[in-house]
Amino acid sequence: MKRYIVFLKQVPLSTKVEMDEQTKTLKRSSALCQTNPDDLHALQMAVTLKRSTGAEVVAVSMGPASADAVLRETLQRGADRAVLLSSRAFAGSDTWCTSLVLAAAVRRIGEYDLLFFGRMAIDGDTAQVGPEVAAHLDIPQLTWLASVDGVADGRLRAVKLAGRVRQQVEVSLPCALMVGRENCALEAPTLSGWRWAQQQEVECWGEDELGLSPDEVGLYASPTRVVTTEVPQREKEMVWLADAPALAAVLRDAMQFQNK
Amino acid sequence: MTTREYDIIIVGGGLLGCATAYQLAKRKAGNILLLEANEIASQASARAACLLTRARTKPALMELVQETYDCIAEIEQLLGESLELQQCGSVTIASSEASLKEVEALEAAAGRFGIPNERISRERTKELLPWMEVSAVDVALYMPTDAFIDSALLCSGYARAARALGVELRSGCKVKRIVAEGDAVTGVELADGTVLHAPLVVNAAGSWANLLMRPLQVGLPFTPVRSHFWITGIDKERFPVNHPFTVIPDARAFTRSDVGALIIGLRESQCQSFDPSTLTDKLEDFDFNQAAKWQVLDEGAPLLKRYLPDIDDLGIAHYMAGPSCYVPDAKFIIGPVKRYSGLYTVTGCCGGGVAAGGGMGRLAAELMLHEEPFVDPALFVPERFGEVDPFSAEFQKRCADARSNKKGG
Repeated sequence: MKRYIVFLKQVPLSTKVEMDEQTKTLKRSSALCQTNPDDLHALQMAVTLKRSTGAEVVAVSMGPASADAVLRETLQRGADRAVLLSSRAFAGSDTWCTSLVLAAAVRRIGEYDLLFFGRMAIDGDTAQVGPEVAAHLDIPQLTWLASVDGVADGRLRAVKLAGRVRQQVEVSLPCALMVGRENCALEAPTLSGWRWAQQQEVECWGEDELGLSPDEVGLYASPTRVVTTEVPQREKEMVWLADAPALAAVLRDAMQFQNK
Repeated sequence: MTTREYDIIIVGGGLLGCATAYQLAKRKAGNILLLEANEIASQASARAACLLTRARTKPALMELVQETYDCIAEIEQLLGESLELQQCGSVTIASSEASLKEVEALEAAAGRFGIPNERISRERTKELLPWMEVSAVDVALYMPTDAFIDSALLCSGYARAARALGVELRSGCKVKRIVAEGDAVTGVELADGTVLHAPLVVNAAGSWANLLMRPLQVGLPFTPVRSHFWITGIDKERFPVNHPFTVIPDARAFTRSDVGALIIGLRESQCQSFDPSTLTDKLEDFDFNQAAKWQVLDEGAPLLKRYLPDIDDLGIAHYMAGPSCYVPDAKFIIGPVKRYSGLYTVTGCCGGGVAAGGGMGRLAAELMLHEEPFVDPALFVPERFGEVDPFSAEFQKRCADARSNKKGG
């Protein structure tokens, strides 16, 4: 059976996010939430590919109970099945521990062809989790994706960016893709999709179902230590330009600087 | 702590504050300062459906809307740029006896006010509104001179015109409280402790207006009520750019074109009000209940289906929720606050701030400057409900019911 697994994260909707002073982690309950934008594009790519391959799309999210909303949205947007990875033991996991949990979820789901991740989450900005999951599972990973041309004969054909160079690549399955918002346009969800999504079951797995020990995951198992957090103070130098020649001079200098 | 003297301080850089600033400046009312906690035109005024419906069953309201149209023309001339008014026309649809009576009342009002209008056939309705299933349409009333406008652009137009006429605009400047000595206001205190003096203060802080009034023990008779609309994916053939907006009372709905997509506004049977004390400084941080995006559409879709049969399977690309300040009688709040000399308010937009804002600002300015008001101000007196507690759940429900029971779209 062909199967695509898509990973999505619930992130704050607003820029106004409170930090937990004790753990130096985001207080996720303090903010309005949304599905991480890149992750929605990863889902869209999986759903679009599914139309030509007939694969099952499984959506997975790790987070508190509120991440159920993320998974309902995936069902509305075309996922066939949704799994929530939720446990107090997972709380405070850094990217390393998160990727351990996600990799365990992949093993439990069973056979798969493609893993889809959003390139980066807008709250952490690390872009680490997808590549780490691929490493845990020992499968190829495709970063800096430009486009996917198709899947056939156990291989994925795609184009990736390497600086200014575009590389045409073939990757054996299974493999992991890191998808950005420029890789595919989102289709607008429908009311009938929403109604269907409300009737579906969202499976919920904790550390027992995943065969993980609480010592392996969560805040205290995470090798990352946030020592301090602060809001960067930007000091911008501002100059009023009196006329067009002054503007032209600034642009000329900037272009010369860029061409150096 | 520094102090400075102004003749008038306006609190709130939304449509009503900026329109009032413009109308005061036009009348050379003196040294005017407008204060906005966020950016000008960035809060509720940027979340409106932007319909400029001319015909109303209340004559005073038609005067206020006409003043907005006049302001737009004046400001375009003053600034030498277009505010991009889209004269697309409107179609009001009746499919029941009750809505037919509403259409007839509108038709009569439009006739009295000289607003062009005509009943159109189903065939003509289909030409104007290619997306609509017209078999459900009993009567369609077309008003070709109706328009819509980007509300943020309009608000910014009022603000820039006011500035061009000498008003000082300050954004990112939160007012902590309105300062009063005895029974007269003397100015405002900013969040940083700065006190600014003026003998006249206008509370145009929209959804936040009652938070400013609370320390003065004044309750304005409104509460924020959720308004919202949905935007479909783009399909320019089906939803031609600038086709007429519609008002469909039998579906509790309106529609409007949006660069090839369709904006759909729906009013739920029980509208949602919010306690003003729960408001955040910025609406982007406020929880309008995102789940409502689909729940309310689910509730409203069966009614709209007669006109838009594939509503269930239509791609919904965007959802926008914002607060409308509703008053129990669905009329605005404009005028002096009797308890304090020098304190005025212009608020309670009741979903009509874009259409009537220019007129509301004019009436507020005329009352402040003791000019002959161009419409009867008695309709809009802040104290017309007696003492109210806008922080009580009971009063908030009265306000929400005003929206729930609203006639028209």
